[in-house]
Amino acid sequence: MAKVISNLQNKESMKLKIATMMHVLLFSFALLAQQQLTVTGTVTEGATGDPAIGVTVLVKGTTVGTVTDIDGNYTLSNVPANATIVFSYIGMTTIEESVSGRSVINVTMDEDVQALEEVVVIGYGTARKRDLTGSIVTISADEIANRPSANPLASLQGKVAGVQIVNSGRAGQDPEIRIRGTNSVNGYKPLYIVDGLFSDNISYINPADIQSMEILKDPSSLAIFGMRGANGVIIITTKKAKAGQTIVNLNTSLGMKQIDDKIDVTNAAQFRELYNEQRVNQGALPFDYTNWGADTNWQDEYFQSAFMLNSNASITGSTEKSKFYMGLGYTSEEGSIKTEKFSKITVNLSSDYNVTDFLKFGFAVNGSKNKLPDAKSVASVVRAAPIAPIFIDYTDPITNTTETLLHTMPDFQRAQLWNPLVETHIRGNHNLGINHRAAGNIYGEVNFLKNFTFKSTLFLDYNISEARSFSPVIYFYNPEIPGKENMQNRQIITQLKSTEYTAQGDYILTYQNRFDNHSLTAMGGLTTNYREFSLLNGERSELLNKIYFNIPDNHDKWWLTSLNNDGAKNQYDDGRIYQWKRFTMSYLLRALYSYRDRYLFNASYRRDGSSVFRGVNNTWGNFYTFGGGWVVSEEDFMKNQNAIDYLKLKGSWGVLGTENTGININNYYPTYPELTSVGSAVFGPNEDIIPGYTKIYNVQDLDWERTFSWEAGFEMNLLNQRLRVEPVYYHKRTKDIIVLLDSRGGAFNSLENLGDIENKGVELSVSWNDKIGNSDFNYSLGANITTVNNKVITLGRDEGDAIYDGVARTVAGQPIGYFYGYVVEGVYQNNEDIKQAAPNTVYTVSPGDLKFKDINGDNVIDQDDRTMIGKPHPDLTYGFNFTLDYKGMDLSADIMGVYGNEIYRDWDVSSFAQFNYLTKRMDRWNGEGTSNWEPILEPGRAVNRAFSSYFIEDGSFFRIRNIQLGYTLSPSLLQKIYLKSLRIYANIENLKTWSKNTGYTPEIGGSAIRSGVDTGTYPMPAVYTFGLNLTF
Amino acid sequence: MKNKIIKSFIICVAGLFALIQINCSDLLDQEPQGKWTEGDNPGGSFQTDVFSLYARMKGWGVTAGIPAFAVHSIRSEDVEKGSTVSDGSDVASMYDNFNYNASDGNLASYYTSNYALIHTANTVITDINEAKDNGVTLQRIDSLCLGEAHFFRAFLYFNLVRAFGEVPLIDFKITDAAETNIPKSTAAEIYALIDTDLATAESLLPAQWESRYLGRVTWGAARALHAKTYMQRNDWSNMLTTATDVINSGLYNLSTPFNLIFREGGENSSESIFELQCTATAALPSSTNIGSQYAEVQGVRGAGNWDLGWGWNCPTPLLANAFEEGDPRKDETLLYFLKPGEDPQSIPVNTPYGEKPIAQEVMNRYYNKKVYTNPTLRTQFSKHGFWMNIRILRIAEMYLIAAEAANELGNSTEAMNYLEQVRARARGNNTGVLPEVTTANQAALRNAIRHERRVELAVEWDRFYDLVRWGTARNVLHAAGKTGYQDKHALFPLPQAEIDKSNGVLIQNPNY
Repeated sequence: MAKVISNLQNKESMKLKIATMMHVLLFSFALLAQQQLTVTGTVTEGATGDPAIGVTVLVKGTTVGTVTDIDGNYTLSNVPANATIVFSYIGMTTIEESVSGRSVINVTMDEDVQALEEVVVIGYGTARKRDLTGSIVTISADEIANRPSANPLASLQGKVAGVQIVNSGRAGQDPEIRIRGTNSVNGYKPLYIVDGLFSDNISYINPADIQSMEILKDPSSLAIFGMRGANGVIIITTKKAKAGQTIVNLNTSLGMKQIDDKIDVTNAAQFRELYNEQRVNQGALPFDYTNWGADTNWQDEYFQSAFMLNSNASITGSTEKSKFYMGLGYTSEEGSIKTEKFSKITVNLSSDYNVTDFLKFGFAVNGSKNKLPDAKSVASVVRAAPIAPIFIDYTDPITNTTETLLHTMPDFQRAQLWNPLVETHIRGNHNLGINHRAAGNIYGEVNFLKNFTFKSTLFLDYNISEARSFSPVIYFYNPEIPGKENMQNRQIITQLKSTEYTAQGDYILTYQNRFDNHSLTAMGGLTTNYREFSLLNGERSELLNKIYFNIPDNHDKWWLTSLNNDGAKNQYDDGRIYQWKRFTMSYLLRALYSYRDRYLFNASYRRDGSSVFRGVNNTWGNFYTFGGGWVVSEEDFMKNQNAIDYLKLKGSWGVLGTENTGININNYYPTYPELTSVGSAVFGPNEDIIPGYTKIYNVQDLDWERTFSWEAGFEMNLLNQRLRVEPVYYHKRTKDIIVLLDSRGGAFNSLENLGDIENKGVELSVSWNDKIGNSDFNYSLGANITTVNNKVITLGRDEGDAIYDGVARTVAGQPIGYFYGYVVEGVYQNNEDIKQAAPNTVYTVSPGDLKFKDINGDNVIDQDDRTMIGKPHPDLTYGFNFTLDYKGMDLSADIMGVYGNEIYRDWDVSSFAQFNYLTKRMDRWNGEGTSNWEPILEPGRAVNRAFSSYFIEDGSFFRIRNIQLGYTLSPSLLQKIYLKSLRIYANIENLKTWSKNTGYTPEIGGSAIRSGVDTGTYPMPAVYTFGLNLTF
Repeated sequence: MKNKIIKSFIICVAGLFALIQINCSDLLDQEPQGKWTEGDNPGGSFQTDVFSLYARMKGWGVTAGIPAFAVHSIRSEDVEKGSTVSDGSDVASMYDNFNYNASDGNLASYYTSNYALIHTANTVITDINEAKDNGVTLQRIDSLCLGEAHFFRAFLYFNLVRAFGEVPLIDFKITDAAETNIPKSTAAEIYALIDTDLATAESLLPAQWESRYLGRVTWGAARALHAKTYMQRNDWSNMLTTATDVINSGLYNLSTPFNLIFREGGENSSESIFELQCTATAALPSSTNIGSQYAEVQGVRGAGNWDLGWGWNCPTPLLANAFEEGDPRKDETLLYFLKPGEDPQSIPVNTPYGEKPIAQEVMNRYYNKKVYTNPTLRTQFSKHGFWMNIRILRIAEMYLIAAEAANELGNSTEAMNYLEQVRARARGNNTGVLPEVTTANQAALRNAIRHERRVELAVEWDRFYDLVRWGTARNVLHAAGKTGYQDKHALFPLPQAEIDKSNGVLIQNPNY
């Protein structure tokens, strides 16, 4: 955390600092110089030994001063011999040195561990951290730099209290982030603000260009974002040039990804044993294995060790009038499945120009090109029967030519499952997905009447995604038929394009003043946000016998126009083409006030007008917050003790909102009675096609969701600033949640403000920084723990109104999307057992079937015996980190885990195909006393597939998330080769995960109403990288 | 100077705000892009909803998918689930062997699909009647639409009342989802609605539509459906009246040879009273938008060229044996095929295309030939036959209904006459087979008529319900080895999901 400070170089904070300096200056003006000297020296950073650049060096009580140059050197002339020189820099402890006649004064500056002047970005401005009453976590560039994740948020897993991150092993896939629980049935995504621009994701940002990220969790910070703020906000600040220096930074890393854990499924011999037994149980004839004698490990064939490369370069520079930053990044990352590959190129350019001392203009542009991976499914590789061969050399009897064909799957799974290697060997690299994004802003800022600043910013964001795919006619070898088996009798080309455009305008007036003991920052403004989206999706195909040109393995031909327009025309599907526009405008007010730096008060208000609810005249919503804090350690009665260095009590309350109406495309205009085409009627001898339309829902009086939120906590530094403790209790209650209830009997339902969900819990961060004795051995330990207690208060009109999504149920009185089913007590061993037990009136049961528990004790197993069998939300998420540095060496380790959640396994059974068995099925019941957990092998018994605790697995896990070992070469050595700094490092991500579930990873994401259901989740690889970072 | 700058600056800002305010008020009005809303219906027509009824009638849950086959056919002794042992084994357990499970997805799909269409029909009926009440002069097409909506509502409730017995009676347009949570009505109340719906439909619908609307519901369809609903209630006299009305209307006849009825060429023939129109085009070769999965679900489950579908809903050997010696309908009902390694000489060739399909190692012995598609169309569009019309009502059944009713009412001569017309058509020129039934003995004639229904209408929806209404289900099904059947299985349990959603309003059927 302390590192943050040195990196923050912020205009406002500089001004504050200068103001403070001016005070000092006035008081000591009376001192007059007698003897004049020229003083020179070098300022170095204590922690790194690097030259400290840009440090203000001032003769105390005068305006005589300078700043240190690139090498940390300074020269001050006309210094009185008895003067005092003040060395100051944001985030560093200010040093005063008496000249005492010396002409060379070298100083070492240390970080100001008190961090009292730490400045944080709070949206529409910045504030001193000590003036705030809420919970904002700042993540500095250091904490995310040198990590292998293309999305910087993935690297934060386990590091920030209150933020649960579910990562995906799939290259290029964004993590799922929940800040303080799931607040609504309509989503949980936080809002991202990149240098002021509201955004849904940050996949277009290069992690290396990020200066800092602030995560805003509490109501007093969030209310200024009004209807976008309820799920938390992540503010990204990209790097800007620092004053007086030109710096070139290069960093690069090379890595490898490896999947260590495979799913334990049966081999061919085990499969045969189980399948034979199953056929007997089903009363079917034995399976003929004549053509199915292979022993294939499909997982070994499908996955690969993957390589990744990440390189970034940046140049910053500044003159008296202007500053610029240029960044260029390239990432290339293979997926863990063969042929998957992701790459990303980013450019970032920003510049500020001071026209006069009160007028400033600037712009910033971020551009990115993401080549999305040809994403492959995972489940098929676990499901495929091991008895099927992979390839076969097939010789055509007529032409006598031989080719290698993929082998078909056995009939018991052929209709559901193709040979999984179709994806890698035939369709691999056949989906070309590409995303171009350009986001930028221009601003003008004017300072007037000393304390006023007006800033006007215009943002534009273009996000264009395109995808093309080609799927050839596919042939398999099938031993049951002569010739080749044609599995897909068309060659198909698809083409997709979506465009999202955002225009945002911010007009912000800020008043900032400090007088007597009062400090006030007031902000007012107006912001508008316009978004539009459109998606176009086309497909053409040619039937086997009508193919004129065979589409080659060359993506220049993978366009719709390559297929003739006669055999198959564009095929559009309304569900895959849609567009929408949304507009909001908002008025903002905020005041941050403190008295004697002890009593803090802040309030904010936002009035949002949105197009979403305008149709029912609910255009405007008001969101507001109040926060208060008391810095107890500033009080006189605290001066006489040494244990507590800093103590702040804080609390806030506010109303936040969301206009989220769910992800269903039918919900974009919930206040209009939209019609949807549900297919076509066909009439007449010419088979005329006439589309039918029907209404989607009845429009109800719909309004915002409102989150009422409060928190209380304190920040305390103890034992000479070595120990820091920051506990917070939070409580969020979202009312008027927009709910689309499950319809009864096929009726359509309407979006209505019906739901009410509560999230509450505790966040605790503790850290310890120290050095061993007087050595150069510095170390720190940190820990954070978060609890989330989620409960649905109401969901519908009646208590029993629920939303079901498979096993997940959302209903009043329970956590959102909990798993609902029967509790398994064992397996019926024999008929006597069945007779003795409470009768199951829902399913017909036989020996070998799962025995459910009679929950309500009415001596009958019926639907009323379903209960909570698990929940996807952890009771506890936690993380530990540890850093160590000794001279140039540094070592850091992150450990994280979640505890108390469950996973519902949903990929191992199907009623339409026989999948490969989990190895644990070897312990199945096959006669009295053989098993009391694994049921009989008989898929016809629906009871064994009912939602029950048989499929529940423990979702808790513990992970060595990251280890990094680095070495920074000494500056003196580097100077000879004109380098400023050079660090080399080795990093291991996801070294080891301890989990209890059978799937590839315990990290199972999902939607707000259904998560933790493992339908075949992508494995999480361990990532080994080696890199270097150099500056000159 | 500086003050001036500030003043003009403040004015500028104020002006900017005002400008934004004005522009933005318009921007706050955002209407659906490229989507129609309720008021946009061309000329206030009610037809769009009616067309959506036709579109969805051929959908998965109502007529064309596993839920429909499971509920209507697989429960009988003449049809089995088919396909491979691993494919839908729980469907076999539930519908072939009567291990009913209220949480079964197919059951829920059947229930909700039928109701979803009922809600649309209710909307049309309410909207048109309201327009009428409000003094709007209805066009002729509007009253035709009203008739169609009444027909469909009756059809759908007839499905539900047969499957579940007592269900909630929703005969009004829903404006608030809460209104759908009502208790069950008795079967008699459901039938009362069906009777009035069909009477209304009969009064409004035309005998024939203009050519371009061939395939829309007619008076004959409503009257024929009415006959079937009376039949289900063993209401002999109404059954006779309604069936003979259709027969005597002259709109339909038995002149279409049996072997043409179910071919693509036999679509909308003189035999057809109502069938759901399906098609395929070059652009949409296998689309449920304009076609259906009706043939796909029942098509031969083979590999390569014989991958005609999923191979469900298959005639049983019991049915095969039920045909009289030489009955030409046998070869038109059963599609013969080979399993891997079987001698091609062991099966007869399938007319008219001369094919001997090869299937996988499946459980069934036959496929349903009534969905056997034309190989030319298979090459032209897709192998899965999305264009095959779904035959719902045909005239031969009216003859058999009339025969059954007449016999029960003691008029054996009339009964024999209707029966003979069906047999005569089946016989064709082959005088050596299917001798005329000449017994006037009521019980013997009853058996003959029931047998005729079985073979003439084999794999056409209603065998199970016939057994139930005749009171023979238990004996017949047990004799067929379906010993899981008990009397309670005549009706399904209500889908558990619906019970769950009703907060105690919906009471589960007895014995479940």
